[in-house]
Amino acid sequence: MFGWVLSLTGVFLELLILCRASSSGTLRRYPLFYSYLALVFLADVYRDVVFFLYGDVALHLPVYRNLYFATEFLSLLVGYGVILEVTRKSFEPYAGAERFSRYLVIAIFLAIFGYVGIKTVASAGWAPATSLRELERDLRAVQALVIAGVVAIALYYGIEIGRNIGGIMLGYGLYTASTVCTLALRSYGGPLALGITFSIQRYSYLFCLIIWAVALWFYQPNPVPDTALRLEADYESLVGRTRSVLGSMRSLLERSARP
Amino acid sequence: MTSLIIFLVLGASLLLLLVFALSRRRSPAAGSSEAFLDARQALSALQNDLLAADLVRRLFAKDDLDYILQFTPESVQKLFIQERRKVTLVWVRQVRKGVMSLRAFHRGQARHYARLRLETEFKLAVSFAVLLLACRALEIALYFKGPYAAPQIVGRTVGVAGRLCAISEKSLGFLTPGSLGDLTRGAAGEQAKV
Repeated sequence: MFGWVLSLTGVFLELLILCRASSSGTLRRYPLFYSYLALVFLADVYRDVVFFLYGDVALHLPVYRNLYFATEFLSLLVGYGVILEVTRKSFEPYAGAERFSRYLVIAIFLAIFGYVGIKTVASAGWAPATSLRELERDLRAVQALVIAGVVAIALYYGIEIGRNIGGIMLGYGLYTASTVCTLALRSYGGPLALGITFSIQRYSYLFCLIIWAVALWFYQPNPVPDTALRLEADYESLVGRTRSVLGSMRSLLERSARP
Repeated sequence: MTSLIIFLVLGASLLLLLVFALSRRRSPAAGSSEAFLDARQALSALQNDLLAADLVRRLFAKDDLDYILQFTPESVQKLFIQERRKVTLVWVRQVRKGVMSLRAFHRGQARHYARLRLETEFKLAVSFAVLLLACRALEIALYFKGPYAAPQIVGRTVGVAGRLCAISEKSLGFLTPGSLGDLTRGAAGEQAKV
């Protein structure tokens, strides 16, 4: 019963964020993110309906399993699109940082997929993943690396990220991190770990939905670096400092001029 | 099992990074006159005062120590070493502060350059990190082992800091102290005539 409550809460939050998107004006700014959320929403509704009709038997139905994995991988791929959208928007005013992040993402992809390719060619019996679950885990790990790289660049260059993009990044990052951990535990822990990891993943997704709901409730543009806008203020500051130097020199001269 | 640990570490690292990013305070506006002047002052302090060969040689020279050890009582020797340690600690902290200011300035500027070179950025990032680590190591060595404990680290720190100063000088070239100096000299002269 409690599982149903959690599941329906998730669906409700997804619907709430999607409904709010058009009125807050965030829908046209972050189309890939909302496409991702719409896809997850439809997949969740479908799964809940099948579960409601068939109960636990649904887990063994080929139609359910195939669609489950298809939607998981589709959402994972669209998730990469979300990362690219967020990266492009955050680094837009910073040409140097944007260039850095682009090359870093390409380098991560090349390094990881190159490594997998070489391994596959080198050992005939080796497969990149023995099951779909493991493949998903590996792809999520690559996603986690890309997110970490982008966040590290933003931190390194002191790039300020706005509420909307920051929220998307934080929510998606937390969800990806928890998914990498839970999928890894599931691969090694077997059926014992299944129940615990399933709960962790469910709670982390709910937490991520709450972050998105709060962060995207209103549209807030990403902060623009005010370097050019501050030219006047910069000049004033420079003049202020020069005046203060002049003032102290004047007072010194006045004092020394006195008999 | 090894791959399980790798995945768990990866997930946990991402979580920590996100939490760290969330807790970070906003940095001052890069490119503002304050940032320029701070960087200029830091560079000037490093080049002209803190990294000046004479000062560094004098700070860590053993001549004074030898003299004190030879001709003064133990209490004076202790006091001398304590005082010298304090002075060298202040020196290394000032160098570290100056380097951090230059690094902040460089990052603030580099992020806007469309033709930023990854290789140079990596090299600079590594140089800054090495230098800051060396400063920290030197600080620890000076604190625990006294002012004459780590002459090699001193030499290396001064060398790397000097090279970084040369690079930063190019970025700050347009804000020469001469121009401000001329301005103050002119105004002072005017006041003197009055």
